[in-house]
Amino acid sequence: MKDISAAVIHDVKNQLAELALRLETRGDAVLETGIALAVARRLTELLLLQRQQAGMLQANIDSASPADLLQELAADYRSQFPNLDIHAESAGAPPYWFYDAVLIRLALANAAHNACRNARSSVILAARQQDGLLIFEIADDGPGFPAEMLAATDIAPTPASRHGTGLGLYLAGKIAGLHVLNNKFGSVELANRDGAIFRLKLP
Amino acid sequence: MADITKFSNIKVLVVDDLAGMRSQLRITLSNSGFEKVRVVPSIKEALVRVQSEKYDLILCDYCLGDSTNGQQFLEYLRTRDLISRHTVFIIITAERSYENVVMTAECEPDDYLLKPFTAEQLNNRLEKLLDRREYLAAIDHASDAKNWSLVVTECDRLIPAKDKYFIDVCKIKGAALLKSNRAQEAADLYRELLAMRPIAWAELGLAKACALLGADDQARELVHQILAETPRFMAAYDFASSLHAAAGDRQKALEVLQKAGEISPGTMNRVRKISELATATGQHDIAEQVMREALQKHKHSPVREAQDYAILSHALTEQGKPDQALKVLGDAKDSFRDEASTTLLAANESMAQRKAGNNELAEEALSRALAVNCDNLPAGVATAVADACFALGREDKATALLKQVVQNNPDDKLAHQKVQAVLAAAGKGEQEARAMIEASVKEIIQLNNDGVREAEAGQLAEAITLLCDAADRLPNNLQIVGNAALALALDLVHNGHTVIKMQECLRYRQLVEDKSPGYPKLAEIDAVLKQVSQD
Repeated sequence: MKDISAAVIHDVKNQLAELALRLETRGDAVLETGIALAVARRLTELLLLQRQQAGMLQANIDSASPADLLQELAADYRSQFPNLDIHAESAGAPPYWFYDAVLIRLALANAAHNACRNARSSVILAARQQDGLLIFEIADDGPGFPAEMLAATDIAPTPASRHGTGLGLYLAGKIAGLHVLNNKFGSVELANRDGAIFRLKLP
Repeated sequence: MADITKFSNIKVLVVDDLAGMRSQLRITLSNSGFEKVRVVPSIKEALVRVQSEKYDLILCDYCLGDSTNGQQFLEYLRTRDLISRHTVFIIITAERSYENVVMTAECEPDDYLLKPFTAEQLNNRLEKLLDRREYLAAIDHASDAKNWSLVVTECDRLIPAKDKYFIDVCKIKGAALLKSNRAQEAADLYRELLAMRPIAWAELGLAKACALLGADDQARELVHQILAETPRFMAAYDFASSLHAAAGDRQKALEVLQKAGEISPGTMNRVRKISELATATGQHDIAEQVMREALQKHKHSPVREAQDYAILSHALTEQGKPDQALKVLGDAKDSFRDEASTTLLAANESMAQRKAGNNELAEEALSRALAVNCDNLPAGVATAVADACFALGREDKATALLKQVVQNNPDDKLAHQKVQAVLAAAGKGEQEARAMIEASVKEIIQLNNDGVREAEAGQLAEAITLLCDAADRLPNNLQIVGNAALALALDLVHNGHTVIKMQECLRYRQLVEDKSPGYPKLAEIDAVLKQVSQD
């Protein structure tokens, strides 16, 4: 069954890929493109969850440029949310760091998507090095995280809650945790300050 | 937005089996300012394109129907140097899980692009990859020329910047140091990197450096550690297997590769290694099974070689199934028409016919195999012909062929192993086989030394006759060919310039450079040639 579901999701992603490119060439379908991409991201999350639950989620850690990653993310969300002021700040980031660029991108994309949905007018994507850690920070100027989310991040996703399934956040925590150096583990934390702040810390 | 002029001259090849994706990618790329885009549905057509034109960028889907995948195609291109290092190769994938693709990669593309993506994301990524390509241009060109010491020099120029490409450049430098046998420097570099972060490829690099330095135990320990921590790192299995094989334990070498095969279907290179090891250990059923499956999977794909059919046919013949072997060879005949391939297939046909009791047909096939000039045959083909000669009692011819293989590949341990295997199959004892190989090597060293001594004594005509004669017989023996070029160059200096002599000298020099651009003797030849042009 698992193989079948994976194969079906694989097919759907292929079709979404074509759909996204087709919509884009029409030029008047920014919203629809965004929906196609969001659907694909949800499917990817589902697959990642399956692998994570089976104990098969592994990070392929190599060097990558945090500034490039933020610049790519900012460009993506600027086109999906043209009314928001989306800003990438990587002056304090090291030129390279070690992480699984694909997994971290997925984790940050989910957080950036949430930030864009909740922001009033602006989202800041930042990276900096601090105390031997690389810290990615995604901040919006929306209403902030609800209190119950701030209390615990490592809660298993639930089928229905006021704030979605929590799958993206759950996976972000697991992905961060796959990054280990000298017994220090990567982690995710949430905070509120003039809006919501999502932090992903990598050793 | 996309910079139109920036992309307009970039030549792009798109390989995707899905028609919708092909046309969509073409439109997207052309909207972004790429004016030279070609799209093909299969690697067969992609191969035709890359052999007739140089591409700057190849976008290849991972999943290409039921046959060879994008990863296996890349390995095929890289192993045969069919694309430049300067060509950016990107694998597009909607694979059910990304790490399935990436962790099992033995030959890395420049990047992976996960479906779905927008035109803007594609542009953004391509722009970055083209920037990186520009940054690494000098290194890429040196790599294409296989000039590893120049690769190291170019890397050293970029390393002090410690910019975002720093680790990439270190990785390239490490590989170049290993290729040029600078094992201690490589080990130092990898240790420095590992002090920063335990990265699997740096651990493997260190293990390889240790093995080159003769610290086999340390290399083995490191590889065990890598496989325990990163069990999906395919390149580590290949290296672990080669360590076992080098230590003489071919059964262990085989088992390690079989384990790798359970994790990833792997590439033809690994399938070949598995079946060769299985053959060498007398497990012809394993060789048959592995190769049959692979050929079934890669049906009609260009990643197949005549050698693969030869391996399968040999395994079948050895198991007393010559009829099946002949059928396999019959299937292969239409696909492979070059001289080395037809010779190899004919030699195997002879063996199968002999096993089937058709001695006349066996003789006929062997005479086809022997009709070609054997001097230029690859070691694997020449040893197969020798094998067939032994089977039909042509011992003198067989021995001459094997001697030729040894002398033409004096430092190639693998070729020597093949010679030994053929001698063993012909009933020669291990000591006898080893003695034959050693005597052949000794003979050619002696000949080389005689030539050099004569040249040093000023007897250039004698030296030239001796060395050029040997060089024509043994075009792969770089020492002989290099010395032939050197003797001719000295003759040009001392006895006057003739066009023919110069042409001959340059021809031998080129043979050496083509096979090994960094070969030390080249500098010596060039220094002498410089005196000629100054006269």
